Amino acid sequence: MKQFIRNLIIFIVIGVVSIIIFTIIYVENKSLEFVDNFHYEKDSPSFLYNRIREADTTKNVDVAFFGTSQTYRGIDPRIFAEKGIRIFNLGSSNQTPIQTETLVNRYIAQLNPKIVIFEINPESLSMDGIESAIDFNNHAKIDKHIIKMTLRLNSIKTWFSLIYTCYRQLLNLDASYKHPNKIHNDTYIIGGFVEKKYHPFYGQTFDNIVNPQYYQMFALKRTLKVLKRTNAEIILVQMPLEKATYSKLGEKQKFYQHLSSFGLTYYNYNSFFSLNKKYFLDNFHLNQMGVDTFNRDLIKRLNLVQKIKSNE
Amino acid sequence: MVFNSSAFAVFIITVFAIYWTILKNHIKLQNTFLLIASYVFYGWWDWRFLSLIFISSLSDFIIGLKLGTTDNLKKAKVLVTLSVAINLGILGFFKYYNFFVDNFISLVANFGYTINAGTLNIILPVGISFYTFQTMSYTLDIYRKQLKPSSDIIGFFAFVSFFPQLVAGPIERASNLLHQFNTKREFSYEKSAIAMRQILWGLFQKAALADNCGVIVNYIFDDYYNQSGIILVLGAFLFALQIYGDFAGYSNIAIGVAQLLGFQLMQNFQSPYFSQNITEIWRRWHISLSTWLRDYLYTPIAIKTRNWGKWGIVFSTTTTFVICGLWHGASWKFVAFGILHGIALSYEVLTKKIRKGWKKKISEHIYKPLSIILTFTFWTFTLIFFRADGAKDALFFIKTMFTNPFLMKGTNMPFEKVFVTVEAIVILFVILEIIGRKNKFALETLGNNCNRFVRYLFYSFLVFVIFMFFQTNGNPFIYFQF
Repeated sequence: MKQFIRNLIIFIVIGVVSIIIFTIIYVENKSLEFVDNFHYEKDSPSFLYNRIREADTTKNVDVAFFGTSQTYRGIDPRIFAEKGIRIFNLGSSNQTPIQTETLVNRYIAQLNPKIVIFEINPESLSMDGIESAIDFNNHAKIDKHIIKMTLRLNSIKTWFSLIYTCYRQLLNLDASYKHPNKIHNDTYIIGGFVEKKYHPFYGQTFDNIVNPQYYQMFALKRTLKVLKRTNAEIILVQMPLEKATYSKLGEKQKFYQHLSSFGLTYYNYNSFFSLNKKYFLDNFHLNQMGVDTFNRDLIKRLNLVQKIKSNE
Repeated sequence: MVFNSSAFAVFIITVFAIYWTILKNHIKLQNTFLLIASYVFYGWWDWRFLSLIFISSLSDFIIGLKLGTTDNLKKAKVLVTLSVAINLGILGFFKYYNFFVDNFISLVANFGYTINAGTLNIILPVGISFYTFQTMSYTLDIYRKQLKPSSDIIGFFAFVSFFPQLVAGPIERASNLLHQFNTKREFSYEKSAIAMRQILWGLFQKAALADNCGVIVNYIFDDYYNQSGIILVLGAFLFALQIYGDFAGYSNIAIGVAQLLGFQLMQNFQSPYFSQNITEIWRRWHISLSTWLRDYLYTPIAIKTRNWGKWGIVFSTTTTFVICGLWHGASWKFVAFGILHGIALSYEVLTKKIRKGWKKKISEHIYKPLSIILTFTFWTFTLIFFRADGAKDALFFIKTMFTNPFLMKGTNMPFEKVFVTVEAIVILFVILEIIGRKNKFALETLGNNCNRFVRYLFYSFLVFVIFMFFQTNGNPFIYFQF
C-alpha cells in the first residue's frame, strides 16, 4: 500500500507539472482549429483588461457599480460626473456573484465607495460563471482572489486559462502589450464604461431559464457580508430591459423571493421604467440615448447627489 | 453518480481509504461498508429505486436458500420460476410495459377494435437490465446445481449491488464474484497499478473518444434528412466508435475500480473491432451479456431443438438475438438490430464450410484485413438501428445513404471544427488500440519496458488529452439507459 501511495504521489507531481507544460506547448503551437477546453482572447470587446488596469490605480470613488455587460454598457461615468459624482464601473461580461465577490474583495478597500450598486438579474444568479471567470483569468493580474474564484468554480476551462495566464505573467510575455481602446464599434471610456456606436435595434434569442444556483447565492451572501463591514450603502438594481423582452422572462417570482431574503433596497427598473426598442441596441443593452435617460433617472430616483453630500 | 465526475472521484477516494485502512482486516465490515457505499452510489440518481434492488436481492437470497435445501424437482422448478418471475416482472413492468401496451392497442386497432388501456408515465431505473440479469443467474445456477446458496445476507446483497458494475456491467455471475465477498481481500500493488491504468484507459475511451464522437454523431442523427449520404456513413462509423468508447470505457473503469478494492471482475471487451466475423465480434463485445445469453437462453433452446440439425442452431441463434435486441430497449429498432445479428450469425453457421474454402484459397494478408473491414462495416450498419430514434428513422437513414450519396444538402457543417479534434483523437485511439489489441486493454502492458518517468509522462499526456478535450456538459454513459 505504501508503495502504491508513494508512486501515486510521484505520478500526481509529474502529472501536474507535465500537464502545465503540455498546455503551454499545445497552446503556443496550436496550428489546427481544435474544439477544446482552452479559451484565450487577448483583445476582448468587454474591455476587462482596460477596466481592471484602471481599477488598479483608482482610489476613493463615490459610487462603485458591479454587474454584467448591461452595467458596463449601461452606466456612463460622464453623466454622473456632470452631477459631481465620481463613479467606477466594474461591470464585466456575464458577471455572476462569484466574479462580483472577486472584484469586491480585490477593490473595495481601495475604491472606498460611499455607495455600492449591484446590478442583479435572474440570469446572473442562474449562470455557472465560467465564461466570465475565463475573461477574468485572461485579463486580470493573477492574485489570491482570482485563484480562489477558479478553485470555487472548479471547471477545467477556468483551470486551463489560469495556467496559461500564469505562464505569460510569470515570464512577463505581455510587457509590451497594450489593449486597444477601440474595437470595431466599441470604445472604452475612462471609468469602466463601453460606448457602442449607434445601430438600429437588433433582436437576439436568449435562454429564458431562471434557476438560481446555490453557489451563486452563497457567493452573493458572502459578498454582502464583506460589504456590510464597510460603511458603504448597498443598493440592488435590476437594469431596464427592452419592454417585450422583460415580459417574456419567465419564473421571475422565484428570483424575487430569493432577493427579498437579503433585506436590501431593491429597484427593479422594469417595473416602473418602461423603455421601448428606440432606447436599446438589442434586447438587453441600452443605446447611448437609453443610457442617458436611465442614468439621469437613476441619479434622481436614488437621490445620489444628496446621499453622497450627506456622507461627506 | 457517474464515473467521469468529480463527485465520483471524491467518493472512490473516500471508499478506498476507509476500506483499506479502518476496515482492512474485517471482511464482514468491509462487505457492510461496500453495501452501504453501493446504495449511496445508486441512490445518488434516485433513492426510490433502491427498493427494487432490495426486493430483487431479498427474494433471490431467500429463494436461493430454499433451493439449496430441497431435492424435490417440482418444488425447485416452482422456486426458480418464482425468482425469474419476480426479476422479469420488475424488468418487464419498468422497461416493457408501455411498449407492449402500445403495440397491443395498435394490433387490436388493425382489426377495427378500440381499447382504452392507458400507458403509464414510468421512469426507467438506471441499470435495471444489468442487476436483474446478475441476480437471476444466481438462482438459475443453484437450480442447476452449479452453485451452492449463500447464507451470508450482507455478502449477497453487496454482490448484487456492487457499485463498480451495478449500473452498466459487466453482468457478473455469482460463481465468479459472490465467493470473492467471502474471501479475505489483500491489497496488491501490481494489480492496483494495472487497475489505475485500466481506469485511465476507460476514461480516455469515454471522455476523449466517445463524447467527442458523440458531438458529431448527435448532429448527424438529429438532422439526418438534411445530410448527404457520405456524411451519414461518417455518422454511422463514428457512432460505432462512440458506443465502443462509451461502453468499453465504462467496463474498463468498473473493472479497474473493483480491482482497487481487491475484486476481480470478468473481462467485458477484447478489441472487438479486430474481429473477422460476427460470431467472433460477439465473443469479444459485451462478453458478460453474450455469455449470459449463451448459458441461460441459447443453450437450453439449442438442446430442445437439437433434432432440427443446422436449422435448430439457426432458430436458437435468431431467438437469442431478438431477445438480446429487446434487452437493450423496448423498441422495434432494437428488435431489428437483434434480427440482423441473428441472420448474420445464422449465415455464418450455414456457410462455415464454404468460408473455410475461401480462406484456404485467398492469401491471409488479404483475407484477414478484408474480413475485419467487412465485419466492422456490417456491425456499423446494424448500429444505425441502435442509434436512430426509431426503426422507421433507421430505414430512412439507410435509404438516404444510398439515394443521396454525395450531394451536400446542408450549406454548412457546424461540426467541421469538432471534426479536426475527433480526427486527432481517433488516430491516437486507433494506434493505441492496435498496439494493445492482444491485451485485456490497450494500456495493460504498454510502456512496461520504459522507465517509470517516461511511462508517467505518457499517462500524463493521456490525462491532458482527456482534460483538454472532454465535453463539459456532462454526458452520461449510453448503456445506463439499459
